[in-house]
Amino acid sequence: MALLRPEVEAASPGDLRAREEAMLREILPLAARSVLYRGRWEPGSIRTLDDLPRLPYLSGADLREAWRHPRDEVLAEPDARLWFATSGTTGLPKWTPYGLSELRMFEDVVRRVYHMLAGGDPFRLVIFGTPAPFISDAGAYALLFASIAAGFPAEYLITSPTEAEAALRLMSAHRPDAVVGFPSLLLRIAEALGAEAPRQAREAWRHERSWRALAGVVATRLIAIQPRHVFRPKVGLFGGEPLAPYRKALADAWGLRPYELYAMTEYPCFHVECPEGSGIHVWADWCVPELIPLSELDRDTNRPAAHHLLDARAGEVGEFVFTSFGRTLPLVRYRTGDVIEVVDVARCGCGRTHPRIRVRGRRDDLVNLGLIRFSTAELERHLATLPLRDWQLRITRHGYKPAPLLLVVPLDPARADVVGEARRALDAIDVLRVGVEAGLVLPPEVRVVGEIEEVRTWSGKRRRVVDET
Amino acid sequence: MTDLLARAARLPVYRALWGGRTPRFLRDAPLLSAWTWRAHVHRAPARCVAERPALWTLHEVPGDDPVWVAYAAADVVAEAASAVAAFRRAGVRDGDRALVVAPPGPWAWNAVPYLLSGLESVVADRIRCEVFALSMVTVSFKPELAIFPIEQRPSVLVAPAADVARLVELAPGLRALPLRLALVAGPAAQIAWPTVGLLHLPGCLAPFAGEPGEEGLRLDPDRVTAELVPDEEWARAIQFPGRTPEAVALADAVGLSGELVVTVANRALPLVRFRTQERVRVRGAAGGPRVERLTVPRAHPDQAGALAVPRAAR
Repeated sequence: MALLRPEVEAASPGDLRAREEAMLREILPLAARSVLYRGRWEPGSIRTLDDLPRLPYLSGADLREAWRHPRDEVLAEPDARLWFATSGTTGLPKWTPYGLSELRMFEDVVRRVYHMLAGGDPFRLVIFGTPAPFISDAGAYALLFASIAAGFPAEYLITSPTEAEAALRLMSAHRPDAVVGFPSLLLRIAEALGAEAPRQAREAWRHERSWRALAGVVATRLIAIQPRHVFRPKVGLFGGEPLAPYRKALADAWGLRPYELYAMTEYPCFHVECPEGSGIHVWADWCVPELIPLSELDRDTNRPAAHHLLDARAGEVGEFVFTSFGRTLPLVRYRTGDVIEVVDVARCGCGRTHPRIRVRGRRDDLVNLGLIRFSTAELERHLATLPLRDWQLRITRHGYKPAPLLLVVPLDPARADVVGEARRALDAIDVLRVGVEAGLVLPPEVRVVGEIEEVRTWSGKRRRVVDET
Repeated sequence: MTDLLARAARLPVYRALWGGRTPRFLRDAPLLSAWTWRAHVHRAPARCVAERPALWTLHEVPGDDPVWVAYAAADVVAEAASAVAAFRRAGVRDGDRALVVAPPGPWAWNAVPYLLSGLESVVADRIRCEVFALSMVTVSFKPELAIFPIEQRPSVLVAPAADVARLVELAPGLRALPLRLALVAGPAAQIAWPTVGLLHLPGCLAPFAGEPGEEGLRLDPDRVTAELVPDEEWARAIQFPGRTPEAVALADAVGLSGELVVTVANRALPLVRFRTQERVRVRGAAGGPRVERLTVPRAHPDQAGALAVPRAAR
């Protein structure tokens, strides 16, 4: 398939670096106006990409703290238009302003993503986004407006998990070419559809005694109905959590080709897997992408060394860091907390030259159950009140679903109700309870053990939450 | 109007409703109910559209199930411009900070924050304001989401009236804000800020808005042809079952209350004499008749438990 902007998407690494350098020279003086970077570097001291590692990193906490200052001191340019929040998994939500430059970048990149998936063909997309103030809602409208401006023959149904039932009804009569959403959510929809289909078919038969309705009743008796029988989308674009655990199940249930999307609120850029299926292309024309290798992370230094993603070797694992080119609030060397694996930095089979990655998970203190996430601190707070000598949360999967297993060592082994107390403590974590009720996470299992097998990082730091998925 | 009728006559919903004939005048076309609309459009959407849609949204029909409406690319562009014009008329100015409470997609109101912030690719003459969008679904689950937008001291609030009350409960700081303007859909009697009415109608992605200091709101005749089925007509139809209630032009319905009927010349899927089931009162005014909404709009889902998939799974 032809590239939308071959001069950018297939630019040589040298051209990409030159473009990044030019943007950096433009963005850094702007960024220096923000209190976020006050005293972090001397004006004019950073001229090339090679100078960039001299700058300190920016963390999510820095971004959250910055808003204690008057907003005019935080914004690099006063042109904020739309504000988005993160979910606030590890504290208060972080808010990010998008101005004209960010919105233009947003539209440009979603147009590129759309073209990558659909080319110039008519394409009908159903987008399951999370409602405002989260970015996926606006992302859907950015895609709509960008498609209209570019004259793409695209058709959108922008919906949300809470309104899935209405959307699915329309989809059953108006089959989509693509579905977009969280992988765990789309699989939950598949499960619910299978459970609901026989009742729906009987109801349709009661309403209308037609051959079609009768065929529906017979079909639901003969086979377990899956989305692939009803909607038949060709393509699925999945983001918000790593796709790997869900990839096969999604392909089976929906009968589609899954593509992985990597995006975040702080930066209006949707990185996406190309049809070659060999990793997510990180758009190196819209940011300076860097990687802090895992060995550096485990050393627990304040300034772990990072290198440009184009200089990484295939298979290298580490934390993704980027410098964004938005003008309203540029993020300089922002540590995402996402652990990525470099697939390759050489030209892809699709012709694109932007480095390819896979997202492996999070490195921060987060209990990551896919769409359902909460901080380790919150878990610790709830378990601190229990008479436990030690505990460890192991995250496994049964099929594609996250299955938390809490191992506890009671202070008094004779105490009988410690399992019940631990269950109640887990139930008090709102987001986990909602995840279990919605069927996105399996109910946590609590097991009393005599001893916990410790898991430590390379540097010897103990891990209370162990991801075994 | 003749063009619209000719175009609509080719669509299955109107072919069935009009018996294969094209009405010469709008008043000759039978009224279209939400039930008839759903029976055709919801069953075979692709066959019902006149032009490739760019967007499908769900529209509220008071006291009834909602209806899906399709918008072509040109419709979305026109509606985006209408949204900017409506918000300007309502008093939103450059430099305002707007806190917009929007339901989740696919409800039409979900598009409001993005129409107001006016992505320049579709809106040339946008209002230079900032938008903080919130949804009651997310704020009910995590009230902290409302803290930052309130701290930014917005000057304008845009929300359904039912959501304003709920938001004040969840984020009491909102009550103390000296808002310049509250653009509210539904009864605003309990709202202390200066209010201007908003109304969303099926077929229109952008809301209709009133003006500061004016009662009711004007339905822009460039966007919609509005009629009223007066309450008396419905009373007669109940007394004489064979009688079909008749709609009258809004200009002839001043002083009456009844059901609003709209005709919207959308390119993808026009609505011709659609019974909105919105009860309104028509007021006379210098610039043309204005309507005052009597229907209480429904509250959109705001429970954390609603973060789920089809009903059977809950």
